[in-house]
Amino acid sequence: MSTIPLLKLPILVITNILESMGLIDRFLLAHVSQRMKRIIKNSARVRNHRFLVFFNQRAGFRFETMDRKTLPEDFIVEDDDAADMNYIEKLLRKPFKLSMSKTNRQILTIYWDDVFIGMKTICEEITELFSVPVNGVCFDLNGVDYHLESITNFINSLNPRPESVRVDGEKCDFQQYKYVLENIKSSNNLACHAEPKEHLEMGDISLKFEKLYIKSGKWIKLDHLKSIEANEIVIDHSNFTDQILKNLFRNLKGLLHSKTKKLEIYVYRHVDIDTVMDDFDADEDDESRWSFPMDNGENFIVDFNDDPILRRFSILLDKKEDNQED
Amino acid sequence: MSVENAPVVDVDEAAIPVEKKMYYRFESNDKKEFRVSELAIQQSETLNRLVEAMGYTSEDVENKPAIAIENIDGKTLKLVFQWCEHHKGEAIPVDDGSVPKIVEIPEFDAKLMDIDNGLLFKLIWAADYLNIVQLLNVSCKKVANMAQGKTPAQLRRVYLLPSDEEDEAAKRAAQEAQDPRAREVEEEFEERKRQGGNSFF
Repeated sequence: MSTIPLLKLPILVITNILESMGLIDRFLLAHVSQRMKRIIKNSARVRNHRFLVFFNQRAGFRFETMDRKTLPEDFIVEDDDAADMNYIEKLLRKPFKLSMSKTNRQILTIYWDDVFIGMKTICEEITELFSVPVNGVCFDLNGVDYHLESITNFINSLNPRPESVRVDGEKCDFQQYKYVLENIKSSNNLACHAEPKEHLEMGDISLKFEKLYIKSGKWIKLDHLKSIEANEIVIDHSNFTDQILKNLFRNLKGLLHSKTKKLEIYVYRHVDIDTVMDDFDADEDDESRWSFPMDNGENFIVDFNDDPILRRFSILLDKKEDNQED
Repeated sequence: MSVENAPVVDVDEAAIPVEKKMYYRFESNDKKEFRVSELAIQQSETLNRLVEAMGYTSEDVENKPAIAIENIDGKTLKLVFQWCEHHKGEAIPVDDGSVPKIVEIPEFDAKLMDIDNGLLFKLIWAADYLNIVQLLNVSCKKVANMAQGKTPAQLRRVYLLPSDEEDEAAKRAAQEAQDPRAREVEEEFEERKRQGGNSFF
């Protein structure tokens, strides 16, 4: 095996070498000795990366560069039932495996008796070693099963708050869907792509995010809008009828939270704009654009847009303060 | 070594037909002499500043002794100047902040660095000392690539890294070497404790 005495090089050269390595290589090197861990922690930076946590069919972490010029690297945590116990060497006292994906991405798989505890431990190791916060979390409601409460607590415990949380889950259980919406508190943006197999009564729900995307918006009623405290709200697959839209515009100030600057609603049917906007104190800027001046100087712009390819109709409400338009 | 016998590294005379090229002469610590073009020297911030400060004319270069580079041997310096001549005129890379660094090793560099690790180690030291940014980047990348796909135990062997126990033993040895009296005091203290003494004093 070809060798080179790394620690006999000047510290700035060592830093250059460490910063030229992939993050999995650096992570493994940090587990050679306490001294290497200190050097990696104190000397080498991690920049221009997004650190993502995922709980899907597999659970793990992904580092991807902002510019996507280099391939992402994955740390996977798997149940130790899947481990080949012939591995002699251990990492964090657990068996592990290094492999390459078909696209030449390096993957480190660590086997843990409890995947969730493994995820927490590795997350703490990574954030401590690389001084990086978790930027985003994504999970699939169909893949996390009984860990849902632990995952929600894990997300809520992250400090600083992750920029975004994405929830997937095709034909997921409505109660789990509801649990997530009710309990994820600490994220700037929530993108809920999950689609419950049935829509039951949601009841009162309080949601606080900077941006909120709800793909399966059938459950959202006008009353729910008041309790959504978000700068931007996107409701896809809404069940709002023309009459409900009319009621929304009629009582915009009463129905939207004061923080909401933008509300986008997608319905998959034709919207009769004339019916919706009939008998309104609104200025028609053009065929599809209306403005609602409010008493407090705010101005709501409403854009109707028919998308014949996706067969959907979008209604965009954009709040402009002091009558300022972009 | 005489000027005539000095190795001249990769010079393409036909490339600059009109102007007479300016060369400088350097001598390694084992007295090997090299003639290197002014443009190639610009790859090294250290040497570039040095020759600028000296303000040599062509006559000075021929008449005065070669500039001594006292801590780099001839074998290493030859690689350094081969690299500088090949990359002369290229812009010095600026750190764009990406980490991991995005460094491609060109074919020429890969061949140049197809050497034993002892020499590679010296080449990295030389690139750092002479402040040749891109040579340092590619040579560091080569060392970084040695880590790929290795387990911690393999990494320990590749990079000759001491274990925690070895580090601890080395630390103790260094402390003892620095202050032998400290060890004696410690032993005396341990002895008194064994004898049941409550206080050292």
